[in-house]
Amino acid sequence: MKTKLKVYRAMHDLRQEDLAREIGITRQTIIAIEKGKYNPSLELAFKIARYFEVTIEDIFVYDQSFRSIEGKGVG
Amino acid sequence: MYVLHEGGVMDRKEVTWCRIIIVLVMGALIGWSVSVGNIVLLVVAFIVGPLALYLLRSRIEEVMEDERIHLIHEKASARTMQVFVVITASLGAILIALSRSGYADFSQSGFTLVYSACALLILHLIFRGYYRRKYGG
Repeated sequence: MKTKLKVYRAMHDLRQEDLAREIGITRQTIIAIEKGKYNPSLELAFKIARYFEVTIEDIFVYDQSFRSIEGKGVG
Repeated sequence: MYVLHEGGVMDRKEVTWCRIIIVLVMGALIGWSVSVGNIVLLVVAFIVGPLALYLLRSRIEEVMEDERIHLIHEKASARTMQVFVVITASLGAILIALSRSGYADFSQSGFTLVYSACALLILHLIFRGYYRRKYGG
């Protein structure tokens, strides 16, 4: 899965810490999502998309060439 | 030692250090009370330690756990169980086999290990059934 989270975060001038606090997750999870090491759950993806007032597809792009969390590990 | 922020909340690092200190003190108290045979101190340590950890949670300023942390715990727990069961059962079987070829002292240890592995597997199956029902399917 490709993510544009870092781009949206920069557009809103937010630090990882601030975004994590706003959404209710840890900063490490933001880092992992941005690096593509962790695919968020549907619920978390919705939370992130709603926070930026966009759709999930605007931030997360499904790409079959990317290995999922199951094959790649976490963190 | 730990400076509390306004309103008595603490950040991640402070909470982590407090947790480490509480667990260390609790471990030391339990170890000492067992060695001197003081059951009162043992009970106090078992009550006060978890209570202190619980109270600490209310002082946390930032999120300490989320779905990624839970996933890591799940995967680590599953892997730990797999490794533990295989090692314990294998070691137990070796000890039982040795006990039948002249080393009778190993018998009890061997059976203890094998039974521990069985108990863990049974517990795992019970929880697996519970969560399967809980999450459907």
